[in-house]
Amino acid sequence: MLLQSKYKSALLCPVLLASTAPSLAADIHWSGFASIRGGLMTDDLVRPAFHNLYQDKEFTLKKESLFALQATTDLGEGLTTALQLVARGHEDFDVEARWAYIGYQINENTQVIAGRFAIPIFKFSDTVDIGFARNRGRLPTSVYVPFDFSVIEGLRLDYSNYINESWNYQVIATYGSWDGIIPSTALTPFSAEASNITHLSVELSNEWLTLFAGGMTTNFVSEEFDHVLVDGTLEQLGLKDELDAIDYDYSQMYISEGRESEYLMAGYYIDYNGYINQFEWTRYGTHKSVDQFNDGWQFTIGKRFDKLTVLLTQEQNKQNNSSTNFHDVEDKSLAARLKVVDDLFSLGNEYESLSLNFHYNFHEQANLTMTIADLEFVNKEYNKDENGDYANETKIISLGIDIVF
Amino acid sequence: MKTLICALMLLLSFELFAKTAIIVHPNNDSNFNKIEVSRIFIGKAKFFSNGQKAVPLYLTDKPVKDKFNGQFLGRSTIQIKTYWSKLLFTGRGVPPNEVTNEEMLEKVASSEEFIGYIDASLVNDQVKVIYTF
Repeated sequence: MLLQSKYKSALLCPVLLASTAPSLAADIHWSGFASIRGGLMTDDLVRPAFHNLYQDKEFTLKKESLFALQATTDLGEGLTTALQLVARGHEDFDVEARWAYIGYQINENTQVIAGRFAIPIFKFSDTVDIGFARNRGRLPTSVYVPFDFSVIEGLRLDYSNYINESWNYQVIATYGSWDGIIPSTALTPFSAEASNITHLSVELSNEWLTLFAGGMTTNFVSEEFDHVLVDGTLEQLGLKDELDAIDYDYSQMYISEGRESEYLMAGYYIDYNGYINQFEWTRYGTHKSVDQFNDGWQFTIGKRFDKLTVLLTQEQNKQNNSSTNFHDVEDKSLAARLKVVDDLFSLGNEYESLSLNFHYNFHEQANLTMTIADLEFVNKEYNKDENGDYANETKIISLGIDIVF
Repeated sequence: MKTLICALMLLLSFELFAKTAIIVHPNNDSNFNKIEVSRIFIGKAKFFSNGQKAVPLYLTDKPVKDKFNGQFLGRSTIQIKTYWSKLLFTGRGVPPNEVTNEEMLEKVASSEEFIGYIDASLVNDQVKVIYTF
């Protein structure tokens, strides 16, 4: 591993102070971005709804606000370095090194970077923190699940070129590894490691149309998922003894044991004379595991009126619960109870939303955003409110300002 | 009153007909076409056709910058800023330096690697105009 996954601020201070000292060679170029975004939910839920962070009626600025500072140096002859530090409100503004790499421009079309960096496992995964760089306040969470493993340690190759005067294409290939926490809506977040992360994405664009597709494969290892969450759930439901009695192959439910995880995405983006239309589809999960495949999609239409952009987005995330044949047990009663385990692991991920987004560029380096989102859940039990009543629908209202400097 | 109206009309006509010039060093012997030059200004081409490294410069002068971005690059200044912020914070590129009119003329005259733009009325014989609009 090239770098620890997180640097605490105490460790970073000497780095920042050193960077202000007289430099031996290249100048350090400082830049950054920040978002102050606050919001609330119109109901009080016991847990945040599908990675949306907000969970009650109390207005808070902590959930989505962040500050980032980037130091880059150009050492000449194509060699660059960069360090990007990000402090997030929902992590008590602890400073994290999200990007830390050495880059080398091989030729006009090809660049390689080594170190710690984000990969676009979804179209905008590598710019997900930069509020100013997008035309909405919040990205649709059905597609943009905040997976930590979109930031990895490894090597990335970028290649871009023109097909003709109109069409440009870009290929990004990545190889690396990761360790950290995987968020879960149905379970508590769990620690995991991913090795052999192999990612490839392709983008083809002209003046007004962008087509994109990509995929990533990896092998996760998580003692916590396999032996605490899965085994613990089987134990709690009284299934462990029965499964032991038939010498059940538990590896069929684990995400470790050499199972391959896949992340696929495809879509298009149109911005034609200020009319905007976007569609993104993703599929991700682990083969032959209780962590079955999720399908997420978002469809957006909108219009840019000079400095104001209005977008309407429909989105959905659904967990495919069709591969129950891996249970491989003859006893129908036991098979039915294993199906309950499937449901427990999957239904928290059934989610859809319709949102209206306003984005106003009031300054060359700043914009204001507002999002009103209507959320619907399939699993009402999971979204029980504080009074014990089921909430299958709620709203999120968020306001924010994004700047870049 | 007539004088005032004439003066206002003259100012308006200057504004309407003020041209912007894209400039390089007089010794830069590359072939220039609009598409190639646009690609240099958005960081997608890094060399001139003669093989020399190309370093674009942006102007701090907002009206000229807005006109250049809108008419030559086909994007608003905010869209260009958004585009560069994506590249900057994902390791794909660094936005061009922004300079004053005086610095633009001085830098472009000093080296064959620079390419910039300026109000055409400010052009001097130390730089070569390759495109006006």
